[in-house]
Amino acid sequence: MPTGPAIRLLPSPIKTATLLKVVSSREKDERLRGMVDQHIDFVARVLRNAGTPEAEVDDDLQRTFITAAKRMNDIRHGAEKSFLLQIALRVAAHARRTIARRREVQTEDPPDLVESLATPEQLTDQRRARLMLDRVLDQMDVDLRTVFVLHEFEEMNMSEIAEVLEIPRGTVASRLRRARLEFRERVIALQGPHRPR
Amino acid sequence: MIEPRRLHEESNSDLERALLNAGATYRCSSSARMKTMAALGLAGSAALSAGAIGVSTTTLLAKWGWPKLLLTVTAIGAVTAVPLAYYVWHWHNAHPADAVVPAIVAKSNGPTHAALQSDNSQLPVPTQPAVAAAEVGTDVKSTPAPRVEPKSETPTSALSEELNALDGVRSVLAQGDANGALSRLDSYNKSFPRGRLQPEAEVLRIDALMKSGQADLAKKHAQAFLNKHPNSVLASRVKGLL
Repeated sequence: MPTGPAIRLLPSPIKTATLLKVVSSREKDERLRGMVDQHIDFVARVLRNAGTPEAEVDDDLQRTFITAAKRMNDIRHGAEKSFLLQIALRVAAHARRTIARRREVQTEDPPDLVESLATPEQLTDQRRARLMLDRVLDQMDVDLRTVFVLHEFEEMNMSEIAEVLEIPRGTVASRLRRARLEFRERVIALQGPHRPR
Repeated sequence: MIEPRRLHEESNSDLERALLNAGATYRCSSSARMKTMAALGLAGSAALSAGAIGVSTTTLLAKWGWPKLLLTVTAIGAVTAVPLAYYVWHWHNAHPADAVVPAIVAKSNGPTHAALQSDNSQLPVPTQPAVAAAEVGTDVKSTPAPRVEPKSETPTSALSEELNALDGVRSVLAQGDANGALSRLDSYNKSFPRGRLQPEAEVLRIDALMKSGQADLAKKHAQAFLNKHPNSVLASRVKGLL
């Protein structure tokens, strides 16, 4: 039996514990690094589309991943993406609330950036498209917006959305139907009454 | 219950498709990627290579193997071909009423998320959406493809140098050499007086001061940091250090 020499090669219990700690820390770092590499664009897109302003995406990305890093032990292997998604949705919700509070204290409405871009003739680049999309999404009810964003931009199916949001699939279907209707109406409204589609 | 098709697949409105495309093709900037790595204490050569110049072929090969890598190359080819094809198609079919109907084309590099639980099949195709515009009745006008990420204009090499410097500080600090870390931080400040990672450097300084036994000075720096960056994501880290 080769067990004898193997047992003699084992380090002392203290050294083993230290070694395990170092290995565990490195494994966590590698796992975290992998999560950033694989999912950072996904997280950034969810944050942005769920309501984080462009100027705050960098900070909210860090918030999301720092929160995930603190809870690495709670993240089931294979479920990293859905975990990050849930954190990102909460971070974006916080960003929306912050914007709403800022608007409340403003004495007058901010200049309407989209107004001058209201016709597709003037929609000449991705930047303007983004501004218009923000305008449309910002007018949506938050529950509808979330389902819309996950389905249309992240290409998640209804079952996946239901699981992440912890709501029945039927509710997802209903919200998605209403969200799409709203989206189309608001896009038509952006084009003005002279351009019915 | 029938799974509905994506709106961009069934929409016949250029404006709708343009907006949907803008939402689906959003990417974070390389500087955001690196700053996230730095905030997590993961800034190193891997972060730099992935964040600044894209994942190297060797890394990709090791990660995905040949089949996926070839698939990615094919996808990149498709991404460049689709806007061109759309441009030609649209120019031939544009209605006279649409004097200028730009179309931000094809969600060709949109994410594919077949399943949340296993995302290894997701290929990060690093492309920018293209813009094509057709003007009927006058000259065909096309606008150059805009950059989605203007922030990434910051010289990546400078940011990389900053990251390297802070990585060195972190490494020295991890070895227990707090004074060495402080010395490196002084060098960092001289080299990058307006560095983009100054907040991260300041957090490291507070950490190093604490570990070198200069708790009072660390608290002064921490208070100044919290006054200057009360809402920073690093604020909670600073509070945790004290």
